[in-house]
Amino acid sequence: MDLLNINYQDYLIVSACIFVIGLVGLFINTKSLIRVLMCIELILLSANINFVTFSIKLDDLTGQVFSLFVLTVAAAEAAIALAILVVFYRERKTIAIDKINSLKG
Amino acid sequence: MITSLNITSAIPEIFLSIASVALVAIFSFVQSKRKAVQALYASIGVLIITLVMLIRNFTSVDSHAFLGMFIVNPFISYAKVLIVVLSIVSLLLSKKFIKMCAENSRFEYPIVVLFAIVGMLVMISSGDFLTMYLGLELQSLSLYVLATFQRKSLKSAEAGLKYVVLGSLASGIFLYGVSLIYGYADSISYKNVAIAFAHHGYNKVVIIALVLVLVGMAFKISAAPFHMWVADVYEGVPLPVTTFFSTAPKVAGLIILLRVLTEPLNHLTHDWGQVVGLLSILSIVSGGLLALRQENMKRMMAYSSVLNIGFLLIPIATMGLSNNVHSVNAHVSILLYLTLYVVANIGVFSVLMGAMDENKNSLTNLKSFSGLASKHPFIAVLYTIYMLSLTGIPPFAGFFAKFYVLKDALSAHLYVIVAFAIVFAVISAFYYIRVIKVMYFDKFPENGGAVMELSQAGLVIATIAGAILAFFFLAPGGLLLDILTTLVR
Amino acid sequence: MENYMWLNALVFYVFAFVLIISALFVVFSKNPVHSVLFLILTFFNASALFILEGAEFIGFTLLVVYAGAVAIMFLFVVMFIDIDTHTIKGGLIKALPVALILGLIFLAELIVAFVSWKIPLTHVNSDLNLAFHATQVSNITDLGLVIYTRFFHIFQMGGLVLLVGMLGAISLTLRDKREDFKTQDISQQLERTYVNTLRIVQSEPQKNDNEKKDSENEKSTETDTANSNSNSNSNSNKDSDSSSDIEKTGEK
Repeated sequence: MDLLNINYQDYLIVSACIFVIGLVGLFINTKSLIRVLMCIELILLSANINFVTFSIKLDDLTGQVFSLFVLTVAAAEAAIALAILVVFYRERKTIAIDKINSLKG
Repeated sequence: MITSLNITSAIPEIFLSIASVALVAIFSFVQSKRKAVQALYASIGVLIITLVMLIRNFTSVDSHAFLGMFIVNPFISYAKVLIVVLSIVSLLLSKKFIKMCAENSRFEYPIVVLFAIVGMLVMISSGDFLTMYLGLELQSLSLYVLATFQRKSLKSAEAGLKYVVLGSLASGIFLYGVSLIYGYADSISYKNVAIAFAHHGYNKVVIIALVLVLVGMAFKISAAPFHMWVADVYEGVPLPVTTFFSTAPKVAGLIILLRVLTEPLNHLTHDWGQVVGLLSILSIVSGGLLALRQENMKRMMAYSSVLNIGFLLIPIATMGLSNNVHSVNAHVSILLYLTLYVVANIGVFSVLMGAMDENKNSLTNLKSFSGLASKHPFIAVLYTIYMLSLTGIPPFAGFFAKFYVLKDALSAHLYVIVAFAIVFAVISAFYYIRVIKVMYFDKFPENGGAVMELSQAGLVIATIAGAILAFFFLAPGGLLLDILTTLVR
Repeated sequence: MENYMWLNALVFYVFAFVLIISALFVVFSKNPVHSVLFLILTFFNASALFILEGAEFIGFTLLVVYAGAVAIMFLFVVMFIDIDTHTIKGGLIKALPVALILGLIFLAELIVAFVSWKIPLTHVNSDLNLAFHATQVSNITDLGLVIYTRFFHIFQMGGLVLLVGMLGAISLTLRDKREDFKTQDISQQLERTYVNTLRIVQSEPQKNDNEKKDSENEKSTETDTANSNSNSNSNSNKDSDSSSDIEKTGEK
């Protein structure tokens, strides 16, 4: 592979790295729920990189439109997730993942 | 190519979204002590108008709107009517809860339900992945808010938190899969994706994309092994919200899963047929086994929903494995099963909402039902009907639902799935019938037994649900089957 | 041309490298505040990559929406919640190696799939309406031409999603009125006049403790005047019933 010739596959590999980092990070951390939400943002970012890359490669605007709306949704999702986190914190006084245990069965 | 926007077939959704936004605007300025209840009645009114529009909108042919990104056909329309009816019922049941949460004049509950319904309706009639994604997210975001709406309760907050984390994760995984499909097919519309799959060959990326999409959607419909959130969420959220969660989103999720698999991915039937078959077996097994040791009715119903999702996946697996994505039988049996399952669910939860102890706290433990038959014979009879129907004992409606699903699978020679389904249907009978045993043969406790205080709406709904399930084998059953068959054709 | 390609590759490698490294730090840094800051760095680099690719509008939107809004929201919540960062430092699961290995396997699979994937040059679905007009107009014009026409309903749905986000966040976190809530009522402040506020009390000369009362009256006029002049939060007892009118009307 020619290292100087950057093509769409390099972008896809970067996006795959971000996706896996987000996915693994989500499962391995036990302490902070905020970090879990950040990992979800990383996953959405990786999907965005894919969409934009394909859009450029395929000469088709749909990908960029899609990624624009993914941004919109991600912002709303982050707002709601953080609101729920704050509600939880007010009741439980912690956001450590291993303390989420009032529902068991 | 369709060139005009042609919005006529989307008018119910357009009306519903404009009305919901208008309700937000109006109720922000209403100053009244009964604001929350007024918002509830207004929302129910809006939903009834939407229902009328949807029924008037029934067409025998496919119609498109928004350049083919919005598709309506009789199959979808039936699911939409079902969703709207279920939402009306669950809103009717939630009056007391809304009054309870109305501190600080919080009127948002019914309106967020409306937004969730807009999301579901748009999602199931989407013609491309972008429309579907936005519908899915509108639905999910609204459901996260509903789950946490009772914010003074730790359980509710925790359930909301689990739901939002796992739900967003599922959306993210699904989205990554969709991005790969887009790169592969150069389009996001279902029709063009199908064309692309027919033209280009097969490669690794396609399989990865398929798996990611399926995982994301299995999370959303809580199919095993992605069901870990469902029991906690069902238990944590208040009962009216559980009622809503266990009905409308399941219908929407199943229908969109069916559509995504049979429309854009219809050239990969063999691959997703196997995956869906596996998901189905896993759901049946884990739903059947996990429900056995539950003492809480809400958790039991949660695992029962996993089991039923397993049954609902059988027709889809059948379609995939027999490579027949236009199978009328499979479509009909999914609609029939969904309808009867949600009717039984509505019944169970509407009665459960009435169970209180002396201090008006909601009781959901199985123990608190002991000896119910001596105090409330009618309710005990209703409960018996629901449980027998969920078990699938003839002549109750659930039997026919399971029968049509399995008959179809048998004729496609899917013996393994059918064997699992029958064995675990029998196992599930243990816990369904245990409820009946507790009600009829256990002693009513001297102090602290359940007091049944059903609201009028709750009693009417529970009775109707019971009547539908008990007398399904008479006229209505054949009628519904005929209607569904003509619709799907 | 050769030179240009070299530069392009260099920029790509720098940004991609920093992107991946900062994403790793989001997951592995000990302090959640650092995680958020690395998240912002991640978004900066991703936006740079987008611009490098030629999707300027998405790049800048990413910068504005993520680095400007979402990440700052995260930062606020971290500041609000993680008061005691010592207790939640670290915190990775015990099965860390297994998770890492599984992740690496999945990553390797993805990379193998991508590298072997040649997107065909002829497309079955080419839609001329959605092709770039790159030479004639800018990227943002291109997008603007389709978002409000072809994707009109999507645009509306996006609006609904944001509305639900707002509605949900407000209805979940807006608290009951607390007693010690300090609010500012501007109209009330502006309506205060010298005549209404300043009381001049005619103190009748009395024999008993005459001096003491006089001084008290003086004191009260002084404080009142000071209050109205400084135009600050009027949270004194006298004003408390009307000082939070906005709050109350919102909650009736």
